[in-house]
Amino acid sequence: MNGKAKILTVRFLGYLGGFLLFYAPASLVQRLLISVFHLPGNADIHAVCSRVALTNLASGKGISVISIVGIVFALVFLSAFFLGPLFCGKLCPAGAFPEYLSRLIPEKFQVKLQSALNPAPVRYGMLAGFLIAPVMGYSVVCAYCNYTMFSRLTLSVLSLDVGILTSTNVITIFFWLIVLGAFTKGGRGYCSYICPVGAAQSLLHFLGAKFRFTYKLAFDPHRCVSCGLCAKECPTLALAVKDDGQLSYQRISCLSCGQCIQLCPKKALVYKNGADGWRRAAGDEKLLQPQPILNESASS
Amino acid sequence: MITRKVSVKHAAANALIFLSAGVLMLGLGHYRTLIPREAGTLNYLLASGEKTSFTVDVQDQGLPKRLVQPGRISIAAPMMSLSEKGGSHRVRVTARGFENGSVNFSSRNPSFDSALGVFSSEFHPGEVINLTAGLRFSHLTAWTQPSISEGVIAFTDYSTGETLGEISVHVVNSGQSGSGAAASGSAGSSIEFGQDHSNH
Ligand code: SF4
Ligand code: SF4
Ligand code: SF4
Repeated sequence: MNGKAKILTVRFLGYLGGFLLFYAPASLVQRLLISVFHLPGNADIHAVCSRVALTNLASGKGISVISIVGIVFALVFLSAFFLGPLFCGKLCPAGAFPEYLSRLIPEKFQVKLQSALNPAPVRYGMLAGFLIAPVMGYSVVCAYCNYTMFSRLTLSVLSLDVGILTSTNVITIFFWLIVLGAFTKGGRGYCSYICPVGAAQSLLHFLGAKFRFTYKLAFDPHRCVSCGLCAKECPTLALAVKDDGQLSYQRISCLSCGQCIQLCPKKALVYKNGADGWRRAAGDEKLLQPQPILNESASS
Repeated sequence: MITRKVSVKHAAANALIFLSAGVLMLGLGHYRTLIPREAGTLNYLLASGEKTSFTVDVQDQGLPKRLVQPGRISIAAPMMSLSEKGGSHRVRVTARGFENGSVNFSSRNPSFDSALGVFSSEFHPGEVINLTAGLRFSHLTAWTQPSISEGVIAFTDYSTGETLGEISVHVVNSGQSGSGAAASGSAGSSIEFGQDHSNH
């Protein structure tokens, strides 16, 4: 197995773990919280859904911390602040599924969407709309939800029946798996533009990265040989090689999947705590000045 | 100066994209409210032998659903309950009729055996009985027939056989002439269409 295949396999095992932890039929987290702590709820993805928690917070309903959804929400969002959006990068199978699907489609049929349309204003506009919608009497929380669709697709493997879809289900599958999945380079178009949970986690990571005690991706320009391998394989195109050969990084689009760190042949990318600014050399706490070859992106 | 102009333009473009994306999400929410009837919701009270009727029109489905699954209809009764006036029952649900299609039942209640259509736990008056009926017809029937199917969903006490309630369901396509489907929608006083709960 070559290095890339090995990294993809290890990542796949993480998403498989996420599937077993949160999705039916296993739903290990829900079952544990129900059986050990006697918390009320069902053993399905809806019981831990952070979309519901975000909607309840935005609409003033609030969430109980002593509930299945409250505990999972707190863990996901606290870890995003301190460690980056690890749920997205390491565990979420609904985000990973179209990424792996996109690897089956030849690149010539794919669009580099995130290069053409900056994800940040779109995803935060979408997040704002998502949070305002209930106030205006619209319910989008379960509509257009890729968690639901992933759950239904996986359960349908057992029953060979996807069940009865709604129009919003059909629209979700079309965009999540096809337009923004298989035919988008990296397959993470839904994550980059639509998912409210990912957007909220990335925002927390972006803010958290300002503090020295939080963990984040750091870059050592002295080691980098500008091979572009990291950027080529970044599923969200958060890393990109500019026309002038310089490497740019958009922290707000990064999933903390760690693929770039594993792939870099020169170990120029590291995950560590310390001052913000991803241009820190490994083991060096001071920010380095931009080098002639590489320039820091304005958005990092 | 030029750099400043460019960054102002850049910020303005981003603000416009941000607003458009927000409006798009609200538009998607609005679209959802326009198609509540593609999955019927019953607010049904099971009382001794109460009969009511319910008409479903496949034209009430949104276009994406009509293109992909025109002949598959979900009727959810997420909050059905036994009348406060009656006793406790082990509920059994059956379907009869629906000649050119099939019906299957599912429930979020773990005591429901979908093969038998029986809730193993006993329900007391006022207690919620979550149930969804999935109706399935061929695409062609759903696209071409004005009257797609008719049948009855019946609720009985599993132990005694006592009839608790019956819902006559008529599935029509008002887009086909002579369908007689003008009265599509809810017909029984205890039934209403509501929001789509089929995501769950
Ligand atoms: S952005 Fe959403 S769908 Fe994508 S990985 Fe994160 S939580 Fe999952
Ligand atoms: S920058 Fe690295 S960690 Fe972030 S999404 Fe891209 S490959 Fe993953
Ligand atoms: S960071 Fe590593 S993988 Fe990326 S361009 Fe530099 S040397 Fe190559």
